[in-house]
Amino acid sequence: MRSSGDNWGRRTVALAIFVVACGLPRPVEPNVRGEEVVVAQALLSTESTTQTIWIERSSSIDSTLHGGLRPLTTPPSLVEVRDTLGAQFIFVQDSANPARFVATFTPINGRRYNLRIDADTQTLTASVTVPLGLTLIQPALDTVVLPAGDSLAVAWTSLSSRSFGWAVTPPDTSSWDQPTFRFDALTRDSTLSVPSFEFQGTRLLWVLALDAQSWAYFHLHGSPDRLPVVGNVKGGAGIFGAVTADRVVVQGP
Amino acid sequence: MTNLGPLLLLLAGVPQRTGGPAVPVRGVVQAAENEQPLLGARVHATRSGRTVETDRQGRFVVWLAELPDTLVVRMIGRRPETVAISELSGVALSIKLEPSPAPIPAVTIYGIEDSGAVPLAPATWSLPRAVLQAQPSAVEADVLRSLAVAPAITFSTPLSAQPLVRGQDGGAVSVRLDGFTLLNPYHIGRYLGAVTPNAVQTAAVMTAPVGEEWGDATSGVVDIQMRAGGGEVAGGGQVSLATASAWVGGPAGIGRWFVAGRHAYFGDLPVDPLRDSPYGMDDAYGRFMIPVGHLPLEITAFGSRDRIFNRETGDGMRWSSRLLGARLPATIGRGGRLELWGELSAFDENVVNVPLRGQPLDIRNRFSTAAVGFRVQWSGDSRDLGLGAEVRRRHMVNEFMGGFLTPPDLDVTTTSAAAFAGIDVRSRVVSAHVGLRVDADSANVALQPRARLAMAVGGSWVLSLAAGRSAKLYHLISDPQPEPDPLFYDIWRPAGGATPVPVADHALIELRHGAGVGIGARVGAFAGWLRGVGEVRLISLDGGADALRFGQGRLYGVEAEASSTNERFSGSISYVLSWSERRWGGPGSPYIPWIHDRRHQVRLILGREIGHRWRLNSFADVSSPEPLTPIVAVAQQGVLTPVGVIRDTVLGRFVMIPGAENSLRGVWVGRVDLALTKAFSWGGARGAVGVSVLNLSFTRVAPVRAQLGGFGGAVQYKPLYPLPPIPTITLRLEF
Repeated sequence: MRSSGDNWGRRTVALAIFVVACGLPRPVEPNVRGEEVVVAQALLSTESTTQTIWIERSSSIDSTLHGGLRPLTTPPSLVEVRDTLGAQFIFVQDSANPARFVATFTPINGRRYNLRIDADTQTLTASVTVPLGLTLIQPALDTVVLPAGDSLAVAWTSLSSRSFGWAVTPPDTSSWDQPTFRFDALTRDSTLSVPSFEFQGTRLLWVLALDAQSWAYFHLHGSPDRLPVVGNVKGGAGIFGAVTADRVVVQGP
Repeated sequence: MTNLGPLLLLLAGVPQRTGGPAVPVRGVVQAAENEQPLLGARVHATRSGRTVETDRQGRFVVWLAELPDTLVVRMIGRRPETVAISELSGVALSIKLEPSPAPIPAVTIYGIEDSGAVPLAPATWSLPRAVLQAQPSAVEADVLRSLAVAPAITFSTPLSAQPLVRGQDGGAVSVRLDGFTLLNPYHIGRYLGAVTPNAVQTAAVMTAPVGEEWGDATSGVVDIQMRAGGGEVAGGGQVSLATASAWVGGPAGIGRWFVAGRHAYFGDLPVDPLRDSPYGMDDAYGRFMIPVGHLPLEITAFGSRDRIFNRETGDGMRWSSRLLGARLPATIGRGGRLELWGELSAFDENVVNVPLRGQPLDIRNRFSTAAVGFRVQWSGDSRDLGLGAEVRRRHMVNEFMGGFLTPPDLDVTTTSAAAFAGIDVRSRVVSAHVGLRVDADSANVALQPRARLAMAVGGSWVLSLAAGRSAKLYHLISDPQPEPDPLFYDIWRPAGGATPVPVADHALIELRHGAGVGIGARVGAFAGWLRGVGEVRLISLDGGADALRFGQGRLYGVEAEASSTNERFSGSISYVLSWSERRWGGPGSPYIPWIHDRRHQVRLILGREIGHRWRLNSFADVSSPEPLTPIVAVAQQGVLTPVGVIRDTVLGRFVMIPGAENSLRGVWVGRVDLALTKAFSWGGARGAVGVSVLNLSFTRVAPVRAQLGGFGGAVQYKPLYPLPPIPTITLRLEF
């Protein structure tokens, strides 16, 4: 037969465990209703004559997430970009990839572009001003040879904001399967030092100037669990941004 | 039954006399143990029926309608003193108040019975040092954290020492030291206040509408009155688990001096993301009274410094706050007091690659202000008149690099002027005040009328009404919730042009019953309308790329509190029901809850003697959930390339898509803190050793945030941070 002292001891331990459990950072479940959101992601690039917009539906908040494309069940009736001079660019769905929409034009530095997507019952809109031109001032040559163990010093000027990035890619931009663009390559500086091991053979070093919203959208990779992201697309989610760039050919070790 | 007769006579300007010309009596009220001037002591002339409060130099002028009369002087934490006045000698009285042995409740509600007249200032709390030291704490007692005993004060989380007043942001509060502007008085991420409690005499909390002499505040003023030197050299020291502090003061001829300092150093601060980084903090205070002819020149000096840098990477931050203030009080005629003052206050902050919410930031912030001014108070037969003016120069520098949304750089110097005037009329049953403050610079003029009325409504009950406008000529916008990251910053913007002037209109009504008859009680209702409210945009819900947004706000609520004290016990309980909302889209857009809007707040503060010189103090707080922006969907990010976004790749992180801002509620939070103190004597010194535990209950204290589950799991909502019980041991010795 247990003594009253034993009972009190067990109750005290149970109470202590309960109190401690109160403070543990366990998840809570507020009554959130998920929604299906149309997500549009695009960066108009002055370095390409083909512009691409990815239009998908979001994933559920309740289930395990799986990567991959999630095209809309019903394609948008209209995907267009207009500039402030009235030029209209209609994006056409890629028959091989229903989430991909393409148009042929090259955006102009400093010009503003407006996006409109009519998707089923939703209309998505966004705007972006293409950053002004960026110029590499170091290295001065278009092609440099970088010995092993060295670092490439890069400097540039831009009349745009402080939203820069850099990437190292194969020389043929049409053959990118897995671009070697690094998430941590976004920077606010205007100088860079890239070690030689980044360049295996002949590579292109790109320096990018982004609009501020795109820079923030992609820079959140650091801790996406700390901050939700929306971008600048109204009526949906995602990013409609722009990028301009300059590059140098690097013959690495 | 309320007698409106005196009110009507008062408003008609008829003096309340019993006969014969009134005569002024001047005096100074000081602490008996060290001759420190006592601010806010109440001097009541029993026959003449008049009550005045002492100023910062402990001075008062009370007009006696007839002689003989008796002055009764009262102050929280001190024995009342009675002085019989049979004739006027022309010499100022010197009245010394002894400390009271009775425990001081955390909250003392003033009523008629405490001062013999209708107290005029509603929604004001005065916290003596003993109350500040008694509150359970982490690391050590903290002046700013201890303000939680006032129900109008809240904090974003227990890791913040930045006070929020009644539904408004931290930048709307003006913190003063001896009445001078104190900028960012915080240590390590605003976890701690930078003013050491052992150097404090009292801390007063005043909620808007405050007196017209106070500027640069749209929600409230926290005025910290520091200790001063006394007639003998006295001082002390304190050590805790993390800090060491010392203070000493005394006479220098007929002058006075007091200095205090505190220091802490950690070889490796166990705080992410600055682990393996040595951290040092210091704060120092000096107060000097230097005779200049027949006038006492008072000097206040303050400095605080924090520094934490990673030895290898050089990443880290440092900031400092500095203040130098001077005040020259003088008497004018029979009932006048003049004060000339000047101040220099500065804050600077350098941050190198320190993450805030995962985003590395570089910051170079500077804020400095310099001002000179004067204030005149004239105490008349039945009225008090005050007026003053100042000229002020501010220099603001903001430089941000990195972060989600970076505000534009700023480097601007502004010059402004302010003037104010107010009149008090007091009687036994009615007191009234009207005043006007004007702040102006080259771009703006802000008129700020303020009024208060208080009347006895039967028994010991006092009904108070107050309304007024407060404005600032610049914005001080703080990150509303940086914790648990140990990084804080402010963004400053001068008002004008596209940047609106921050303006707040407040009204409140309060019914209170003084604690002098056993149980003090106060119930009140308040409301505020805000224009030109600025806020840091934490997430870009509307697609904008600006780091700041400006809008309108409204707040309203009711407060109730009660306190009781006897020889061995003190207790107070408060409840607040409040709403605070913002509107960012202009007229016609909907109001949404403010980021720290909590509907219910209950606090229980208890103190009890549990043996010979043992005392147990507890603080308990329960608050209802904060607003929460829900995550409604998840998407996979594309990959950024020079030729656009690529999505047909296995790369790409999942990101959360938020729903309507602040459209849900998170979780209830609360905690229980406990402190046990043993007072002792050691030779001629007296001391105290104490153990304190913050969040002894180990309960949830922080709001929840959404995050993605690991390995592609579903969205979860978890508290910003867990707060295990934090113990503190403190040893204090005074001679």
